[in-house]
Amino acid sequence: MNQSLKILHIEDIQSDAELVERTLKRSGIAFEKLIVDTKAEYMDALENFNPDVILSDHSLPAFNSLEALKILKQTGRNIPFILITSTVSEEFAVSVMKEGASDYVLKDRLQRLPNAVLNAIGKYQSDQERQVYLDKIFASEALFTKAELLAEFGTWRIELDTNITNWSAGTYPLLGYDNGEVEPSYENFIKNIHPDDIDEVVNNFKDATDNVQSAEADFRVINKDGSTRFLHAQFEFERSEKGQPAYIIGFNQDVTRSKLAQIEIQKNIEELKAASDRQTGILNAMPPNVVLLNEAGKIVAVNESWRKFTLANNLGVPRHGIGYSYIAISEKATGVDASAVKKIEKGIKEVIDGTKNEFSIEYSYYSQGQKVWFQLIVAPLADKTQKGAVVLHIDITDRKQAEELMLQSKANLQTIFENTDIAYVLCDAEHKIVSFNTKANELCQEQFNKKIKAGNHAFNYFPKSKIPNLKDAIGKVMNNERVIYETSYNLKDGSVKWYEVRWAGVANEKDENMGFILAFKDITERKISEMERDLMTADLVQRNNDLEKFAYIISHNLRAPVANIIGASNALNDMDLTPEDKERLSRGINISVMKLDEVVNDLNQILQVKGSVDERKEIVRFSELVDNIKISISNLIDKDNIDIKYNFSEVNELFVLKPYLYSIFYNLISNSVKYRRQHVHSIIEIRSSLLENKIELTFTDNGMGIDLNKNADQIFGLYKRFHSNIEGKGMGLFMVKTQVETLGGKISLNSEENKGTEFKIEFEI
Amino acid sequence: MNTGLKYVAVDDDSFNNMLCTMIIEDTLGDVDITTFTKPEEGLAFIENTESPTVLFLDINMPTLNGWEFLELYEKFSEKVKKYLSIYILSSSLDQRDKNKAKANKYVKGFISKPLDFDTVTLIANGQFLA
Repeated sequence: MNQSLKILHIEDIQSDAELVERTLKRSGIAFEKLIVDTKAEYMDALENFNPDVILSDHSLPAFNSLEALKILKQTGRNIPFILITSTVSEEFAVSVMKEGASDYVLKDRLQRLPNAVLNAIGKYQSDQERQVYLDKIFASEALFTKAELLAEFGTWRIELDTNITNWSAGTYPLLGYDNGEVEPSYENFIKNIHPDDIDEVVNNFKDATDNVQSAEADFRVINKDGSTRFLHAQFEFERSEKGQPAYIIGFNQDVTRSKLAQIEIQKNIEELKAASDRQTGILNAMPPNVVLLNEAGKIVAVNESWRKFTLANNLGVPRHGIGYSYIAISEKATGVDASAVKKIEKGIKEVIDGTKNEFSIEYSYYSQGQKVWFQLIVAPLADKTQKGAVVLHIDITDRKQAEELMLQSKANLQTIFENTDIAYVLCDAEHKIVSFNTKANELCQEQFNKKIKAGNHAFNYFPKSKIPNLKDAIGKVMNNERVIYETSYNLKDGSVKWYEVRWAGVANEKDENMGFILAFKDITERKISEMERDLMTADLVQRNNDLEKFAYIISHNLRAPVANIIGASNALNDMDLTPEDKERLSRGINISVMKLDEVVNDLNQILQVKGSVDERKEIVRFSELVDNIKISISNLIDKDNIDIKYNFSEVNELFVLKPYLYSIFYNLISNSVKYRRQHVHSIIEIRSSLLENKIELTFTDNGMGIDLNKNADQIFGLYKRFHSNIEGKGMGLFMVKTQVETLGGKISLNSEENKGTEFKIEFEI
Repeated sequence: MNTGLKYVAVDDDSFNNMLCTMIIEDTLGDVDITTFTKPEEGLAFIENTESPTVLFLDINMPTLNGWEFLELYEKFSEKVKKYLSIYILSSSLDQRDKNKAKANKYVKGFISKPLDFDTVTLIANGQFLA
């Protein structure tokens, strides 16, 4: 130390000051000394005296050591400050040391002072030198750190021999630490690395150290705030002068921003690609052929269906037509109608121009020998930058085929409908005619001399008498019942037509009744043959009955006289007879022979009636018939004053076989006369009435009557008699019935004993 | 040859009744024979039968035929029925009539007209087999 020390001594007691001076002088330390005891002097001395060391008593009247120390700090000077005190406790001394004092010396041990001063100054000086050195380093390091921080860059170094690790200031934040927060070490280096990346980093590091070669690594670090930092690290080996690896030097570069940007870009690209893929996927998955056209009508893009279509149809254009004119391809497509192509061309143009919003056309052609149908739809391409169009081809062959089939089956149905011999009329729920076929119209004209017309009420076409039946049928049909019946209509020429009529309800999808269908089938032929068959059957039954009757007649009516004749002739031969008996027998034989003849005549008459249907019919007036009969039996009528009245005002004539009708009238009138009641004024009444398509004749008397309970089934039997006291053979009513039936009529009777009898005869007209 | 039997004939044919009377009398001599041409009267007559009687009944009669006659007869007392032996005497050759007669429990036999000597004899002796 060749320079003398400048010592500033804060002390108010002269003796103490001298004692310190003597102690320092004795130690051989060269110094000059300034003593102050006020704050002002102290501050002035700090400024102007420029001390190397400050010695301070603790408590002064004006101020104290702590205050002095504070003032020193405020000046920013780094001057050793030694407390010289007698009063302080050890604790106090420590607290002053903490405030920045370099040392403390007790007054009763002042001999330690010189060393304390020298130590303090030495330390101060080495600190000072270090500071200068550090300041230099720090200056460059600060710059470097700043640069590192700005560049988000950090360096580090490991000395291989000692494993001493250094991190640059920039390294800490990159590895997720505050600056200087942890000791630089390998463990701390990898502590905050993202768990997913840590293995890779460790492996890279190990590889590099094992093989002594430089390496790179990209990894993530979890920041304190939990955010992720992306680092790019690389490190190299630095060799000693002898060529041995001495250090690993590493560089960490924060690449978070570029990484994030890259990720963002990648994400955007992927999203765009996904969107594009989706659209392409949708387009490709669409069954219609889709083609995008640019403004010039050239194909810009196509979907999978179109690709297949071009392949399947051998269109022979490269790249599925992309870059080619759509119309040119269309023209090339064999089998497509030229006029259709023209229309399509025009449609596409108009859509691209914007003159039309959409264009659609259905067209067909033959593909591999089969007719195929397409619907072509052109829609504008919604794009701000350029005009264009989307052309869709939808295969509608299935739909078209179904439509054609339906049309065909409709046509077939129509053909059937029009050519059937059944007349159909469709009516709505209000009974108005909706539609009908040709046959129905023909029938209507033939039957009612009217043209059938849609909209007219169905009832207008039927006779009034049929309307209740129609209403009944409609009621049933509306209840979902089917109605089938047979009916007849008289034509003007007198012939009869028979129809089978079917009614069926027409329901909509909701099962509500919408109307009905009437079907008329002409069954006249069948009906006639049926009636003929019935007639034949009835005739056969009749003949069989007749045969039985003949057998009966033969057994009884024919055999009876024969048996009498045999009996009588036997008696005549075998017995001894008186002449009177002989006379009686021969008279009996005579009567029997006459009876035999009568029966044979009756049979003959009956057989004649049955056989003679072919005789001529004529118009017969009932009144004339009755008048003639009255004349022929006038003796009977007059004798008993019998009243025969008639009323034929409703109908007086019939086109009929006259002899039969005469016989019927005669038999019925003479029966009434024959079986009149004694002591009663006999009245016989005959009248006619005209019912719907039949004439009814009624014969009424007030005679004896017949017990119908007993005899109903025998009334009209041959040789049936009901009154034993009155002469008769039982022929009359048998003949009446036979003749009525031969004329196609029916006979029935009503009778009560002792009141009278009423016969009713009906003839159809 | 008088067995004490009485004879009744019901037939609307009076000539037949006469023949019957003659052949019965010729065969059996003087016997009690009554004939009716109205079946209703014959029916009334036999209702009071008090001794064994043979009835010849015709089928084919107006107002009441043989079968109807038998229906009414059915209501008669058992005592009367015990005395009566009914034979159908008919001109009919019809098998159906014969069958019907056989089926009726009151009918003892069916005789085809004319009645003859042999038949009367067999009936009188109770030997007639239908």
